[in-house]
Amino acid sequence: MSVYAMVKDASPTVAVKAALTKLLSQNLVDAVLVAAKSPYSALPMPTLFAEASAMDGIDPLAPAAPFNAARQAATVSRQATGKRLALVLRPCEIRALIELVKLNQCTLENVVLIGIDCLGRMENEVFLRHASALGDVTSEFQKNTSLQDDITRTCQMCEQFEPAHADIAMSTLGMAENSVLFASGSETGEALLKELGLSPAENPAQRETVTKQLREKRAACKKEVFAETSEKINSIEKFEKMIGTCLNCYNCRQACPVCYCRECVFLTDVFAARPETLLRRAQKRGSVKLPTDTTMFHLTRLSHIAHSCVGCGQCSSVCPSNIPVADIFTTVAAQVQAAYDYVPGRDVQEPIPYLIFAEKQKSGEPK
Amino acid sequence: MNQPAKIVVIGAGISGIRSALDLAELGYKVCLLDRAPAMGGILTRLDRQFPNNHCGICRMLPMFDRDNSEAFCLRKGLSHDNIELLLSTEVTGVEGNPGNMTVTMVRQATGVDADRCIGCRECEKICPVEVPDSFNAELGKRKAIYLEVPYQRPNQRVIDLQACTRCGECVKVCPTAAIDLDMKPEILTFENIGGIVLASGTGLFNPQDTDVYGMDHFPNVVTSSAFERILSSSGPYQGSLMRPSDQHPPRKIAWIQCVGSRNPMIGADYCSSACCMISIKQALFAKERLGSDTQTTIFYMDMRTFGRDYQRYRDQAEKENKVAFVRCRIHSIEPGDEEGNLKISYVDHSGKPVNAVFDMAVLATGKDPLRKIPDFAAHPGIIATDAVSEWMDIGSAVVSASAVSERLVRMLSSAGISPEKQAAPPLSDKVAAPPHLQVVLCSCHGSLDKVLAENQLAAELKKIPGRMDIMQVKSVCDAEGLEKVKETLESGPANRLLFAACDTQVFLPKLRQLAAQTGIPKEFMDVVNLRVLAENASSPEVLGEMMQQLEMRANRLFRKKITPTDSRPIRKTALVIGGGPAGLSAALALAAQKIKVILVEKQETIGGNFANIYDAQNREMIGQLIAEAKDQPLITIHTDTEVINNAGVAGQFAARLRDKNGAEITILHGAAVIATGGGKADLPADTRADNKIISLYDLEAELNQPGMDAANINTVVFMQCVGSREEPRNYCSRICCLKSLKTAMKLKELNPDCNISIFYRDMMTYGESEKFYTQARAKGIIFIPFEKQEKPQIKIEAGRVLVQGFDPVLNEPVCLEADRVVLASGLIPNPVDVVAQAFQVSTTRDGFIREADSKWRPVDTGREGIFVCGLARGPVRADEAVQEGKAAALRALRILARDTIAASRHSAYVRHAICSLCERCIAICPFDARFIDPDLGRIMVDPVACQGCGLCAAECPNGATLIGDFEEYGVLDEIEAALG
Amino acid sequence: MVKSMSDDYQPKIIALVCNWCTYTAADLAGTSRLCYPSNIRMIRMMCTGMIDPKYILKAFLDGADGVFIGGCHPGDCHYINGNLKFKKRMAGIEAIISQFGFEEDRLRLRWIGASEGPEFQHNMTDFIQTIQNMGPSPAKGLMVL
Repeated sequence: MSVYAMVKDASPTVAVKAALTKLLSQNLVDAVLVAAKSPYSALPMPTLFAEASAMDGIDPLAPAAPFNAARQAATVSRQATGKRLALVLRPCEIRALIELVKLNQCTLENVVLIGIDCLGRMENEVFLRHASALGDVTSEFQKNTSLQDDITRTCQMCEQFEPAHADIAMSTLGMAENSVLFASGSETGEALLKELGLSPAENPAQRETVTKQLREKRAACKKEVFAETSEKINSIEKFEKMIGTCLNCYNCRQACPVCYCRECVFLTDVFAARPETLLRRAQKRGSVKLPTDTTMFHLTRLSHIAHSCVGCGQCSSVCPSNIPVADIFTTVAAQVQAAYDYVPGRDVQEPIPYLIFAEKQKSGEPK
Repeated sequence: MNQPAKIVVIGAGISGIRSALDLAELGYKVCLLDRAPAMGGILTRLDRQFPNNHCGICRMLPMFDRDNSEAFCLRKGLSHDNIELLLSTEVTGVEGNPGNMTVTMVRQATGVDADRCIGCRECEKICPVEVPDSFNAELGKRKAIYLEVPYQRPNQRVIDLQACTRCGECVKVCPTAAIDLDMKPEILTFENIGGIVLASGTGLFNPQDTDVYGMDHFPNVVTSSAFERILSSSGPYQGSLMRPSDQHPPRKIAWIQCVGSRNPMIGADYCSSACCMISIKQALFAKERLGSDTQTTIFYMDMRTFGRDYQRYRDQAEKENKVAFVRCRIHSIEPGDEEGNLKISYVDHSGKPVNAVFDMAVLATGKDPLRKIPDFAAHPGIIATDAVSEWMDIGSAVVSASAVSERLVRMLSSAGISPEKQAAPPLSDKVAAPPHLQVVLCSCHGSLDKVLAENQLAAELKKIPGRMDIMQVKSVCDAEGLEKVKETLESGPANRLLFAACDTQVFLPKLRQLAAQTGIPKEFMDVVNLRVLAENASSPEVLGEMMQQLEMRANRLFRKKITPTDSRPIRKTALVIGGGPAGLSAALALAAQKIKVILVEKQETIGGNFANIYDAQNREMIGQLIAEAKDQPLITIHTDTEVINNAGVAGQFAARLRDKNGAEITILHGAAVIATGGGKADLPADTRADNKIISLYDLEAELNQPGMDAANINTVVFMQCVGSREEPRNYCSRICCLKSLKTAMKLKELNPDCNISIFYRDMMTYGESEKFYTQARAKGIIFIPFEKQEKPQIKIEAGRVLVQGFDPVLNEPVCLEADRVVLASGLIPNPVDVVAQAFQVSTTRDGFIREADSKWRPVDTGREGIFVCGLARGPVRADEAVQEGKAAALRALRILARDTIAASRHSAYVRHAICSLCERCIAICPFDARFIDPDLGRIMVDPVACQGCGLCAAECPNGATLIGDFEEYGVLDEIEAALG
Repeated sequence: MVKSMSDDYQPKIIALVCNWCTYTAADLAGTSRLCYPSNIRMIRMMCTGMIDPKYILKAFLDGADGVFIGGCHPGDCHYINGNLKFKKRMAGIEAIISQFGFEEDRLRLRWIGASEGPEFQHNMTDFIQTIQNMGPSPAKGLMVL
């Protein structure tokens, strides 16, 4: 699928807003989930719109995302409601959403996925600082490369900034100023583009050059981060130093879009040690740091979600102790994903790796 | 006399175990006895089985209601609350009538008191007498006081009184005074026995009895059972495949088939049925162990690969693994030029004499012709399994044993005997109280006193946190010691029990006993083998080791919980699909146990292939089944009807039936038996060139016409395996060879001058049907073998029908003009797509329904509550189909005979409050035991299907599903203690 | 039968073994007087498929020098294919622990059948030897948070 339409002479936000408004007002969808500013803050929050007239504050291209909105998207698509939903998501959010579909946390039935080119997001406080100085950060961010350097460390190493699997992809990379490319990724998307009455266009040639350059830059950064992180965690003792300030607040797991458990196992009786056990542990080891199982938490969480980690970096953003959780998780996840030849968000039909295994294997491990 | 009658099962081999378990699972009390000092028979000597080269013995164990039994490899033994095991015991007399019999037995003196022996093997270490090890085919040595089977649990020793020199050393070292060299055989009398299953097996032919292959002089000539031991890790060479003479790996191995079988000269006019497949399996293992360039040659008369998947197994061995198959009877083995080598002379396929030298020869032995069925076998109330008179593969033995169980149950119910209603023993109120551990230190008759005292173990134990009492007893092997423990548990506050004693497995029966007496579940009890640690008493680490082991188990016990178990009411109605012999026999067996049966038949009449059956015995048998089914008020017959859908779980299914007019009804049932059958395969199109070319079925029908005159049928050529035993229908249909023989002989009867030739690939007259082959040859019927790639050709020339082939005996081509060319086209299954889809069971590539395990669960499917029998599962004779029907009914009865089934304690359970409904547990469950309840929106666990394997719990990221008795917090605490 | 290693360094090994096959083999090794080192703490699982990654992580974080996992040969699993499902799971665990400095050799999976007492002994001895050559686990004696 690749039907292109170009909107020119409008800021990308305006073009996107126009398209989304049309979707709603022409009843092509029943609701739209999209990041929007509230009257109280410039920080865009995932917001569900059912009325086109309420869509003034939408700001999907803002370099800010206090959540990986896959969680919120899954909340509204937990089960099919008979209503048609448009979900406007960043690429990492779409990937996470696909993982959540596999984990039966939501359904894509009657869902229109609208993806955007993502130049990255800033940490919330960075964004707010720029917002109070600049007002419209979003427009400035599209053209100001020095602003673009203010995105999070994890975004700086993200190579998957183009929206795969979206029914409609809205692209700004490699476009002339004030133009947005709408591309369909499915029959649904194609039909909707036609309904929107956008004029057909070519995929501009420089887009590929631009994306390629960006990907290379990001890949170099990723390589650097992985190497640096690997070095920092390659002994358990070094790792302990990294997580020495961890508070067991579990914010990282709360922020993680693929940590889908209704209640984390670390909050259940499985890790509720008996006081006797703690005393015995202290007796044997001399001391026990409380809360316990800090390392266990991070490693277990890795064992649970490393294969599905989409590298959104929210875990680092929410850490009150500034532990580079995402550096650790993306570095380890790369190894796990390689071991399973699994790419999260690659294909909604591809089961998570633990659920597929070779029926026939040679008897006996190498002796 | 109020006690319900018990059942005696004679012989604790495969058949005996299957039958004992069948009856025990139905609630009958069973005495399972064996004359050997260990149970298991041939089971314990086999590592892997054809046709998948895997082991699955444990799959015979109960699938639900598992709290009644112990879950461990059956090589170790069998522990079920309803089964009393009597070893070294033989029946000497039987009196009375079914329902109330008296059985006299003699328990041989073993010299060791089984209640006291703790398996410490001090006696074995000191015993000075060495004799050949019977377990390992006498290829190794054992002591006069020994363990019959090395896996056996409890691992109590027995004395080989013939070898024992009565030196008394063992008596001196025994720490529990368990040895009594003057022990006398004991006469046991069991009254109030309801019935007896005779499952004593056929014995194994010993070639030394008629030594044609020189086993006495050639150490490298071994029997197939000895080769099985040589392959085994627990065998004489620890699993290294070596030949006995010099313990070098053989490079060339020969298998000689039919040793002691198919030999009327020694009274063995039968085929032992399983040896061909065993030899192929052994050849494959030889190649796997020693490398694919190892030469393996199987010398055979007919390769009897008549089981459903066996022909492909053979083909693969031949083509891919290069196992050589040579058709010839080997007359003798001579010594080779090199030490230990063996020379085998034979004539090859092209008629050329060959002298081949092998490093080793394996004699494929089967049934022992000298073995007599005991005199009491004919006594009313005794039912023998087929495996008493025929050697057979495991799957057939299992079917036969369950069929016998069914007959026995039928006999008992007509004698008015039903199993005791067993209520689970009530749990003590204390179980719900906070954990309180009772540690029992056993000083093993004082022998551990020193270790316990020196290490101040009792004082150390107090460091383990948690409420705990500690007591020391002299011996828990004595009734007195165990009684003391029981009293303490009953009177004290403890609700958990940890023994610090000896071999864990010795304790299992004691734990079960204590659990029954005190109401504290056995899951709350555990044992640490202190004895084995104490053997290292000099080592400074011993205290640490002991403490750590005790703390591990204690930690686990402290975290144990009893989880509420769901109980499911059972719909006491069975659905039987197919009204042929298998289905009818299943339906009648179920109805005999007061189970309502809904019998669904696609055709307009029941009886299956009845119209095409001419064999008098089979006609009578099936005719009777049809009549009985029509008369049985509990059986409702729906003809012209199909099952199009089935939903639910074992015990509570709902099926949708559709008749030929398209009318649909829903019926509720508790278990289903699929017996959709099969029928004759059509002749290949290219064989219908002349009306003299007919199918075997046609000839059979023709000859059975009233007033049939066969005077003008003078020359008949039969051709076997037409369209079968090669792709795409690469299986043996199992009935054709026997049918050809019977039909040919009928023809001879009608026209004694008729010339009959039978072209065959391998005559599949397995078991007792070999006699017909012998008779047919005696009647002058000519048998001409051919290979798949050199089929005889049918030519039609000027109205004459000619069959051109090659006769290897004459070593020249033959061309026969025939009045009839009779083609054996075999059997195909009826289409099963709809039924397989409806019941969600899998099928084979040939369109048969696949059973759960062809050896160990032959009539179960992968879905609990759905069973399969007869031609739907694979080619069978009518009598075999009837047996399978009974076996399937018996399996279904395990469910249907109950009012409710509760989950076993060792099962999965879901904590809905924290379940995220990701359904990974459903995807990973190997037993389809988990499903979503659409009304509740919850993951449910089927208590019947769940086996407690824990895959779901390991897959569940947040402990929303846990496994009873293996809860994660307990295991984590145990790991912590292990590393503390 | 159990014997103590004479060397100074006493590695601590956790062995998680399947109830049906490897546990039977371990028992058999015991009764057959096949010596294997005593510093193995065996924990019986019903199936290797029951082994939660947490057990392995916990063992390493609590100072285990090695974790041995013994299951039925493929095709022999009492639960049809629990062993293969575990094998799949294990690839991920290996990838994780190796990133934190635990050498992959410290975690070993082997199929050991019920009758394979000698294989059990051999595997245990060999594993201990491997671990001894490697030296103590990096988490040994470390305060793990």
